[in-house]
Amino acid sequence: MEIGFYTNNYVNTYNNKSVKNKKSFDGLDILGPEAPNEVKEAWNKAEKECGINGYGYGVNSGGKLTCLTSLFAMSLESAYNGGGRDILGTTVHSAKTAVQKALDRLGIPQDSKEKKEKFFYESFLRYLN
Amino acid sequence: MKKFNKLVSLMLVGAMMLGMCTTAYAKDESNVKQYNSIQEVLEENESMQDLILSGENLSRPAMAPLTSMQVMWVNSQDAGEEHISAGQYATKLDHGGDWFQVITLEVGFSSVRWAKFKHMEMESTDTEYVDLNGDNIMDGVLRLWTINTSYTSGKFEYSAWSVQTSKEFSTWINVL
Repeated sequence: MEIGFYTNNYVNTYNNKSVKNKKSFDGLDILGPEAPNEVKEAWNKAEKECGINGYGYGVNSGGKLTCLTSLFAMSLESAYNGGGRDILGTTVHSAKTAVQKALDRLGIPQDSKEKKEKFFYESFLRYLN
Repeated sequence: MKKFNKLVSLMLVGAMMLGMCTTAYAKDESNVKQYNSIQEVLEENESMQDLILSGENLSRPAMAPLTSMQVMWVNSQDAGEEHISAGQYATKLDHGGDWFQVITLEVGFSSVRWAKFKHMEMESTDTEYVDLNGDNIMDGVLRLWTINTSYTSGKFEYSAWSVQTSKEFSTWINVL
């Protein structure tokens, strides 16, 4: 039985030919395509420091998702409700707010994956301050 | 499941604190410190306080039955990510490569489930609870499924059985 009850025309087609030529898999093109440079720099610095990013890509994962993060889930919730997947927004403040919400939602890490995720969020916020 | 574990952990901590209060009262004449309230226990044990205050921001209703499910996202080595709309039963991108990933959304909760791609069982890589209406109550589960296999196309099939009702739900998508 299949039930589909929401309308969402959003389709992510950032690459409709081949993903093999994509230079990086930082998730920013999905979560924050309009984010200012400070946000993108902080994101990339935190990723280098932690080995993963808030999207769930690991360093050298080659586009393969290593885990589901709170930020990723928030993005899909937004898409489910008809919004886009951009949850970092266009300002430093909006990015901080989204990541702080993800951090709160994560709560106390239960395993190494969640510890890394929390570490990424904290690093990201630190680099933005 | 991790969120559920957190809830269980919080309940255990609560039970421990109650036990500490009771024990202290029973040994009133000994050297055991007497606590008159849970607040006193918390004030003396910062780590326990942290656990209680920051442990959980989403709560879950008592195993709400599954009401719907859908494929939300697919990812492949050749085409990358594709967001899947409700009612979409074929991908729009040309997927393929040596690995394949899918994210399914269950609204409500299932007890048993399986995911297959080209009749091969996929591995449940991770799960994440979702709050779809912003009320801080978990409404369902996102599941990341992964398989390492060479392919150019195939069919993804997913079935799950609801808690409480045991009703079967299934969905699928043709991966082009």
